[in-house]
Amino acid sequence: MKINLIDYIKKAGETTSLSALEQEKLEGVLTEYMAMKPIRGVSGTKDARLTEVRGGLFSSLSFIHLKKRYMPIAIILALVLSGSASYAAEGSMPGDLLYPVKVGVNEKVGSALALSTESKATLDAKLAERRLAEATHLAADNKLTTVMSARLSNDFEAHADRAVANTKELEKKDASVAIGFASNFESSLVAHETLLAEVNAKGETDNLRALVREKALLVSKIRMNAEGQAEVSARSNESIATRKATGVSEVVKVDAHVKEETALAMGRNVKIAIKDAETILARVEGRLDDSTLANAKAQIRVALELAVKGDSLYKAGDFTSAFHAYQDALVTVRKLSVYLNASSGVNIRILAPVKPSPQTESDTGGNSETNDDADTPPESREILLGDIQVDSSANVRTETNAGSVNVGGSGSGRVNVGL
Amino acid sequence: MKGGTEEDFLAVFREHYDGLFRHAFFRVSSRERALDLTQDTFIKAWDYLRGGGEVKQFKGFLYRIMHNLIIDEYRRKKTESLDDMSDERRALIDADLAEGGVWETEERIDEEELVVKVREQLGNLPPDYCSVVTMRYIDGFSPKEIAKMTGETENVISVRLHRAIIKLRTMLS
Repeated sequence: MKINLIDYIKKAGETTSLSALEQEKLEGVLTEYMAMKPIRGVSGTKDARLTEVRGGLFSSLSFIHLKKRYMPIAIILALVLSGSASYAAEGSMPGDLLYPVKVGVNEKVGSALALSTESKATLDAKLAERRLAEATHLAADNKLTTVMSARLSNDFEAHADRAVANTKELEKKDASVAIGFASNFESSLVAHETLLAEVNAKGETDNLRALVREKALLVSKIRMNAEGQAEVSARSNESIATRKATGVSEVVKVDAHVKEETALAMGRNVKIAIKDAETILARVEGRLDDSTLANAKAQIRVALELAVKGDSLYKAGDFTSAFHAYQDALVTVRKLSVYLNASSGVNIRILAPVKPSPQTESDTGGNSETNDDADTPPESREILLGDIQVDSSANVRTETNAGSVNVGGSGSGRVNVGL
Repeated sequence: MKGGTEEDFLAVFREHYDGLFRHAFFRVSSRERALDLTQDTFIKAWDYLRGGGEVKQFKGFLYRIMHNLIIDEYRRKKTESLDDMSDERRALIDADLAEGGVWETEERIDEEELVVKVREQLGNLPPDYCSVVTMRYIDGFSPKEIAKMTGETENVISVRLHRAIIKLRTMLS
């Protein structure tokens, strides 16, 4: 029998297609994006077309017409139609005129553009964090009313719950991705909780802080479960050792591969997180006093050292220890990024004196054995512990990070919405 | 699409979305990522048009955007290991050089099963090989068009294509 491989490649192509539902969703996203960012100087017929497609997306602006605030409405509409409102609204806070544009338009566009589970989880985590940053800012300015606090709490909870649900989905598909995402989100929530505590002069953030801790615990639970699945927790090391002892070598091989992938994914995450922290620090360093700046730089240095340590351990084949070194680095820089991004109105004391260099923890040199055989496997890290010590001499004044909706410039599928 | 409208762009979308999705699917081996990449490609194309850009030939333009997005993704994901692995893979490929894409077998082949295997193994080809096979046989571009899109010479593309087919055949054997 003669086989022409090229025919089979073509057949494989012909039998791969988008479903009608996927096509419809894709077209819907594109239509909304075009309506949000129309080509300038459209004709009358196109105006009609744009009005028609904007219906759903812009319905959140209908409140404007009811309020009959003609001058601001005219300004907002002009801004919206020229495409500038989304940018102007990004830095708005609850109570500002453009805040509904930020929440009702910009964030909805972001949601519509997030298709994959990872993109959805990332976006919801980012929006949940936004609500916390807004609450911190308002509390610092003594403007956090009971009504606003309740609204922000509800909105935070809705986004956090969706992020948690999507993290669970991610865990089923790829534990290493779920671990990376959960470690990021959990670290950020812990940092936001610390910030909310700092501005809690009258107890106005008590309820929100309790909610943040509740969600952080949920994320922590998923992360630890996923770490168990990926065989990087202390308990699973024992189970591998047991399996090895009983001679189930194939299973061990598979597990070692999963551990390697998980460590590699965490390594990639930490390198991105360190770069992010460095970018934020470069932007706000002019507003930091000398000791705070030195402290922030030292924390980044510690994270870099941990990442280097992780690389050495990874090369030596000790994937479990490499994973934990990377994860420690990630937690350090994620928290730092949240603190540095804190609102300009917040006087906070967050940058603790740097801990001793991680190099002293263990020698990463010639240990080429994997940790599977270690008598005392490393403990699973507890991100939720409040490990940031407060340095009463260090005040940080930073400004709100006015970001933008980034629609896949790198093709990564991540939707970044800055605070 | 000079002076075009949203409707024109949607027509372009309807003409090319399936082909672009297929291209992405074979190169990233993930339906979800392929969907994301297809969406990103059209959004980038729209942004280009909004910025006053002019497109004479949409098919090539869209595939070039997608190709760049996929390259970005490879770079992002495999910052360190890609180069090392390429050498390793190249050594394997050299060792596996054989006759070509057509072979004789005594055994009865289940055609559907072979199609499924081809689909799976395409994603396991080294990125450079996967991209040329996808562009040539899935998307239907000529070696000259592929060369233009990737910035390589036509000769390089032809040799790569030949080696990719041999590699794929070895993987399927």
